[in-house]
Amino acid sequence: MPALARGTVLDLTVREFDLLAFLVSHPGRAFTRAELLEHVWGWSVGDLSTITVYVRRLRDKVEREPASPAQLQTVWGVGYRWEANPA
Amino acid sequence: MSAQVQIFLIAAGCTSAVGLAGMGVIRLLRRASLRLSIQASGAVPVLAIVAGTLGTAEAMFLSQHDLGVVVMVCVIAGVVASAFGWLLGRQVASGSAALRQAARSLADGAGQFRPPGRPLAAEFAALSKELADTSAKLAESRAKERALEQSRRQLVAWVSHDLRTPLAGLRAMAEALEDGLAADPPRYHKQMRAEAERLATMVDDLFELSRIQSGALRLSPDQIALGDLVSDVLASTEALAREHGVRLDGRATGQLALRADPRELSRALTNLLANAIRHTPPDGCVHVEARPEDGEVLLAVADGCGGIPEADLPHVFDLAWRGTDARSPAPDSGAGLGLAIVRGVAEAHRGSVRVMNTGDGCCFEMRLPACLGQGSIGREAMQTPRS
Repeated sequence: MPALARGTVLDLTVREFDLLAFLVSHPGRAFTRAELLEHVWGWSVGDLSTITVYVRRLRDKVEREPASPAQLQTVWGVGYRWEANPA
Repeated sequence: MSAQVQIFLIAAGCTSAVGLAGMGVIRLLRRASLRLSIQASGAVPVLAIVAGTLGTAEAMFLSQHDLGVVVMVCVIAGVVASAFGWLLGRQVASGSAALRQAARSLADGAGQFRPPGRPLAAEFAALSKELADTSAKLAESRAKERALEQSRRQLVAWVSHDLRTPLAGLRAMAEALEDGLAADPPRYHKQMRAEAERLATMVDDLFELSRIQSGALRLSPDQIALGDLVSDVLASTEALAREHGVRLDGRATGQLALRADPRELSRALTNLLANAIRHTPPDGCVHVEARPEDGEVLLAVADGCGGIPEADLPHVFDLAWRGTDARSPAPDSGAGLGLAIVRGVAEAHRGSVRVMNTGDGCCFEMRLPACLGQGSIGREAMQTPRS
């Protein structure tokens, strides 16, 4: 099933899709990078900056304004979370 | 044909012949001593005059007597010219010998070029100055090399000490477990894992540093929203801060679009934070700030370490620098690799680092070239002080 945003099919890589799917299925919950790496990548150890990069790329594809994301939000000093109903 | 034209042609022919012969001689002598060439160049004009005179003697209607006189005058002039050439050649040769002698001092133990004590011709003086400059540069790079070698030796000593300590601990704990003497095995397991992690971090740091120093650090630059990177590094150093009882807070303001290697930059910022946390007393505070400044992106980490002695400030980012209490480093202070890695990463990104004392601590700053026109990934004021 392709990912849709605002009626258009998103051109996502497999990992981007997995990351998006995982976050969307746990709306409102903040995950640390280590948790995301473990749940999405299946790695218990790894380079956490991978997540930083993937989140940035995903925002560019998903968010209307990637500079001030409404849905894929940064939880400052903790990690990231998906906001299902942005204000 | 008039007599004058005839004389002109004969004279031109004879002198040209001598001139050509002279050029041949100088060409033959091009590898020989400069003295010989100079002497030859003094003799050639005189010989050309003699040849011209002899050739045109008939046309000049000179008497045998007059011709003898002219030749005699030419011979004397030739002798004087040769003597002059010899003197000049000697001067040139002695100038070059003095310079050669001086150049030899470069290879001596001290390696310091001592210019010849006597006045030299302009060309030799220029060469001498060039040699002196080269010598100064050489001395400077030798000193740098020595300092680097010194710090490398120190590093090896520390690293081997620091590697040995956790290894000894690991061995003792493993033996205790093996012999069934461990009172609380789960605690041992946990501690062994921690020791192994410490070792892994150190080996990793060493590897990173050797890549930086050998110039083998290959960056994989990507667009980065620095605010997120700061937030992520804060999240991953939170545990260390809690362990030390240090409060961690940070803020990111303005457009922080940046092209950098996320992995290396995270590592550098993590090192800065870990360094700050380790040197801040319990109940102290470490503050991180990211903001644009003068077309660059500034990352500042301020701690409550109580300040670094002024004399040490220039060496903080040096390899194997551990502060004045270097002899007894804190158990988790690392081998003085962290800040050297920070500088290496910053410089690999064409950025810079510096440190200065603030009121009750010091502030480490890393500046990186901003990525202009990429506003889409900047973040507006993001701030949540954390407790």
